[in-house]
Amino acid sequence: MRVRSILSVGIVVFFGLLTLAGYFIPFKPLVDLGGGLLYIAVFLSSIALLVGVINLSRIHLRKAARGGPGAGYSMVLFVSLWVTFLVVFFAIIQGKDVITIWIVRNIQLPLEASLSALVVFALLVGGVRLLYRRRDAVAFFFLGAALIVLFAAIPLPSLLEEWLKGPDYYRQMLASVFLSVASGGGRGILLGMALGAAATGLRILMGSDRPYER
Amino acid sequence: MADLRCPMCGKPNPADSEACKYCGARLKPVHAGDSKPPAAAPKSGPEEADWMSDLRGDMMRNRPKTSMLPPEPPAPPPPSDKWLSKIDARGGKESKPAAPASKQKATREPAPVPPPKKAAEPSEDWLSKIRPHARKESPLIPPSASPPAQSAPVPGAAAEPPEWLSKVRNQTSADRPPAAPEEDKGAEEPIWLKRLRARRTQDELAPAAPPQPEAEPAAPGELPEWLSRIREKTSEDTGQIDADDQSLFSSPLSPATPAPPPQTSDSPWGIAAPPQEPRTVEPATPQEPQGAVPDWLKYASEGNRQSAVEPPLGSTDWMGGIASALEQTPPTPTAKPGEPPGRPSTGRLLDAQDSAEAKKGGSLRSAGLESAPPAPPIQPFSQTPIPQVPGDTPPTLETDWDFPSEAMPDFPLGQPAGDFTFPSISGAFNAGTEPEVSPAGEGEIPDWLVDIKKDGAPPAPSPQPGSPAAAPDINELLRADTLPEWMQRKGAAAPGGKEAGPGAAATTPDNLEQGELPRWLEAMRPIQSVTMPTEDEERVESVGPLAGLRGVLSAEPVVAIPRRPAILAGNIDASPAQLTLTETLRRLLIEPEVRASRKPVRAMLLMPLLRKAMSAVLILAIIFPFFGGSLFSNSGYQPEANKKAGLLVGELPADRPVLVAFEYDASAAPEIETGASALLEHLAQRGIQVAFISSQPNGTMLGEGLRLLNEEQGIGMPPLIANFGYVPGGAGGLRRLAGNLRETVNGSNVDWTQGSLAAVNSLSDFSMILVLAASPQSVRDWVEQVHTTAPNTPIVAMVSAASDALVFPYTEGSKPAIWGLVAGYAGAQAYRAAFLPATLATSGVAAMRWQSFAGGTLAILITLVAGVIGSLALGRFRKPRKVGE
Amino acid sequence: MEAYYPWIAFFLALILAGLILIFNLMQRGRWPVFRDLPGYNEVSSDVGASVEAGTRVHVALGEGQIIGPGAEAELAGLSALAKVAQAASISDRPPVVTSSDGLTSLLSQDVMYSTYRQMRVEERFDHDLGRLAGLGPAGYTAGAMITTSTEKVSATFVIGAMGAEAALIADAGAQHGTVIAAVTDPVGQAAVFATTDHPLIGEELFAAGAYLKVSHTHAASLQAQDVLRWIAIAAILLGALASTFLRLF
Repeated sequence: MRVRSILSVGIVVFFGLLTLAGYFIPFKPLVDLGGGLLYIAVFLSSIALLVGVINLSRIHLRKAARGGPGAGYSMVLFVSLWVTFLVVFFAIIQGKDVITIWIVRNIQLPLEASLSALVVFALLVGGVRLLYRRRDAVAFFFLGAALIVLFAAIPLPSLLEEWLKGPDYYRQMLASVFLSVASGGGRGILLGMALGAAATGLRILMGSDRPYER
Repeated sequence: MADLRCPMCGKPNPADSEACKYCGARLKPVHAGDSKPPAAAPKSGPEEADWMSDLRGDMMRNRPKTSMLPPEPPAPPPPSDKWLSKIDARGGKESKPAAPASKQKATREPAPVPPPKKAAEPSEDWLSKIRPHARKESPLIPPSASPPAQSAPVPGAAAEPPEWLSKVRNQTSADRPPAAPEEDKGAEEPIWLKRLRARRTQDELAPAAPPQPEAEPAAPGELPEWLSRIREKTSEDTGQIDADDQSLFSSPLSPATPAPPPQTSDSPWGIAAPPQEPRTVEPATPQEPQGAVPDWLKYASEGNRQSAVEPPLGSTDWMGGIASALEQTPPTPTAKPGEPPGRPSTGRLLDAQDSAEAKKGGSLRSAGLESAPPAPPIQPFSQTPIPQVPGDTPPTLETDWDFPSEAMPDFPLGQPAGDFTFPSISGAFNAGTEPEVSPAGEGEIPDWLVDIKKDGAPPAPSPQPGSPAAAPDINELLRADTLPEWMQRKGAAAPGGKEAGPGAAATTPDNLEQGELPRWLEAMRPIQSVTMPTEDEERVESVGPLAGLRGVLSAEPVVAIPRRPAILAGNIDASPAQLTLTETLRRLLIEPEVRASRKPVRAMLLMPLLRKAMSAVLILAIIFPFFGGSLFSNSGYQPEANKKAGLLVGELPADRPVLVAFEYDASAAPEIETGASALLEHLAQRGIQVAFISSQPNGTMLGEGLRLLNEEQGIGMPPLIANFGYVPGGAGGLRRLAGNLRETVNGSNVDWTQGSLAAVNSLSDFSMILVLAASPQSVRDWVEQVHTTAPNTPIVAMVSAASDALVFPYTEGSKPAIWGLVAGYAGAQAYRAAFLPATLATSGVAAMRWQSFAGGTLAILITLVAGVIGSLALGRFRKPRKVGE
Repeated sequence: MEAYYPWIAFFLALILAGLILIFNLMQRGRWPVFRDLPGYNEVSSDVGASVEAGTRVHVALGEGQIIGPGAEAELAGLSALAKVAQAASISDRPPVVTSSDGLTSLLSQDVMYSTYRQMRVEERFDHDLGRLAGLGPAGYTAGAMITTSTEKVSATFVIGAMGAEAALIADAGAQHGTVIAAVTDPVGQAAVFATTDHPLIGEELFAAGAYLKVSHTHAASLQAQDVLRWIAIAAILLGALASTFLRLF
């Protein structure tokens, strides 16, 4: 068991450092080697994706067989998953991308867009209840900024457009101030997240973080 | 080297370790008859702990924890001496002061820690002094082991006295002013030892009949040598060991003192092991005289059963006190005001004892090791009453929980005496879990009894007259035919009159009545869970000074030993009726927290109504333009970056293609494609060719679909010269793309010789890169990976409105990475109004879509404002709640 | 200047690695004290409550990919998963982990198995506990919402790379119990801020290992990040002052 642990850590550290070196050292063989390792990783990732899909379908098939609430939906998922897979597989073999495009635009797109629309309701409910749940300065500032940016996004009324075009400038400027503040804050957060990401990657390369170890 | 698994905690240890480095338990048992004790653990590792503290610590650690924080790693065993190894360590090993278990540290008062003995002082092996006595008296000692002369101290540098010995001496001298001056005892003694000594002292001081000599063990050869010697010495001892006596508890380094008085057979150390016979239920034996054979000695034998004569519980010898302590239910601290009732944890029991001890100075009173007035004896459960302060009611033990019981529990180690009562099986559970003995020296009742008295313990029932006092076998207790009726199946015949032990025969007190398990509760009990483990009498002890001995009583009942359940709750075979009742009970008992946090009815009804109301407002605002016409202007505010994007597209050369990257998925398509359509139409107006690419699997498919859809609707789209498809690897793939375009997209069936593509060898050869992205991360990837290698190729981005704030900084500066930015549906509408005014829809679905967007945005704004006002208003009328409630 | 960016990054990485090692050695087994983050304080009690109630904990690792965007968030989420799995190992209903990436789901299974093996309860492990809930943001969101409602979940930890759809998962989790969310996407952060009681913003996600006491290296890396943050702040201020000064003169 210990040998396996040392071996797995060694593999990770060695190839990780090799790939990283390909980014910093402009030595073509090293760059190509890093790129090749990335190709292998992407290929393995796609295999893992297939394994995950098989596991997902197995779970839902088992759920459908067991019965109970949601069994019907699980069966629909299982059937639609493998039917779509087969249809697209044969379409690609025969070079008929139209079928795939039709499935994406007429089935997948409406479904995913509808789910995204639900986000609006969830965010609206959350925003309405925010001050009821939490009353601190951050919540007040958050809601204030949201209201000002929303206010700036609303088009002018068509009947009053001529008269409000001038004052509209100030509305937009106020919104741009908040956008600038949000932009700066977002950059600061991104900076911290970049440091966190670097530290996370370094922990993997140093062998102290080993999520791959069984 | 193969790792050794610790028998207590199960963690691997190096093969050459003597003790576990996590919990301090002994890895290699001490075998009886070894001439020398095993070497002490290496000093580089954790110090070996006092074995009793280890046992207690293990019990504490092995309890399942639900805390998020990692279970406290087995605290490095507090450094203490191993008294067995110290016996052998005549070389002057220094022992660090014993530190109590982690849990007890907070509540114990540290005993005074005298400076350790200098190594140069003559060492006195206390055990070696016993040996000559033992050898004379006992045939158990093999002739090979020839102890030195009793009176001669062991020459040479000797090890420091065992800490617990030192503590005992210290405590003894502190408690007994007329006692001989205390010796330098070294480090602090464990409290349990102090208590034992105190008890011993009490027993010795109490007027009692002379102890009757104990019978010799049937198989003396099986006792360890040192135990035999101790017994012999105990049998000779009167029970009073002088502080200056070079006896068991004296320090090897203490100055030479006269030989101890001849020990009588009543001494706890001089009596040989009793005959090992199968344990049976015995009638009550008379009160154990002072200095009787310690209880544990009577049991310690290899392969032999327990003595027919059950050891007198609560006997005066200090080791026997351990057995008494194991029998006694630990003092259950009653729930403090506000404290939720429940089963007290072992830790709480320990803390209660420790705190009580701390109040009293935390001193373990000597068990009579030094000359001192005898203390009132601590009565065993079956034979002697518990020492009481005059005027006090008989002490009883009270527990926070209540179990229905029809009979007294069957105690393996004896029966409570007098008015003692145990609430059925819970008492048996607790017996043995508390290895400590409450000190009760000098006329004081034990601390745990004091606590109980303060809390007004209910009177205990007196045992039935004539009930056997001997402790029954645990296996006997757990046999199906001996189980109490309430534990048996419905309809199963209860053991007819056969009591599992004296405990079952006890009568209930006046204020209590025998409880019966209700049928509905009994029906809920899954049968499999009743199966109880039994203690293996042939089990070989693996830790502590009794390691290697067979038949040693475990420190806690086998049922209390933490173990993985054989049957998981999910696997229990229960009938539907039982499951229903179980669920009901679970809801009643387990969900008070959930119930407590449940929102009031008013709030529960309000939230769904609120959601429905807000949804209705939004839907109405969206569909209103279809009935109410256009209320808003056809375009909105156009930011500067939006203008720059349009101006740049208007100035692009027509002979170089534009690379269009579709970096959005289907969920963001409705918003992004408003701007994508506008930009593609503008490129089509200029006659510029485009090539599609994406780092997302569905990207180019969405782009191809958009182009086909627009063409079907008669909307002009730019000519597509190549579809490079999906570039895997995210940012890494884009970096490869920036490094070598043709190699990266080589497998996409691209004809590089055709048309404008012939002149394209890298990303720099494109006139512009148009990134259509839903998230700012994709834009950053293109900027960071591609723009650095092709700085002269302008990038124009179309992003969602949510990403505007994060992508906007890329448009600023003297050398912006992004030359133009179109953000959201409003930005797309403004772009179309500014650069494609002829395509701006004024009627139809497209126009209504803009009106719906504007109306919905206004509705959201109004709803939010109303919600803020309502939250502020409602907040005035409700009690303050913490975040998260 | 752009040509030196890789070397600057390389030296920063070296400094960060050195700081991690130094802080790790300085700790000597003690845990450093960090500022209070209520979100991580609630993790312990939420897991305990779910264990006692016989319900599950749902750890939503999000849409990040180990080979792709969001890899660092997924790795941080796996560190937190190890701790949650350890705490919930005694429960009859082990935690369920959802993700949108095949590699992440396999890694989550590995993490849970190794944790259960350490706790000597590997018989309770089921490979289906680490599952692929769906592909893509919308698919994953739908799968995660279903998991919350069908698996008797009483505590939801959203920790990974997720966008605005995290609000849906948080909302579904809030209807069944408590929710703690930490996502990397800025839009997602705004969404969870509005919909959860204990949001963790930005780099607080990467502090999961330190706050949950996964290992001393995590605590050391958090301390190293703090040092570099101060260096970055100083560099930004100095750069701003310098550019302003140059413009004026």
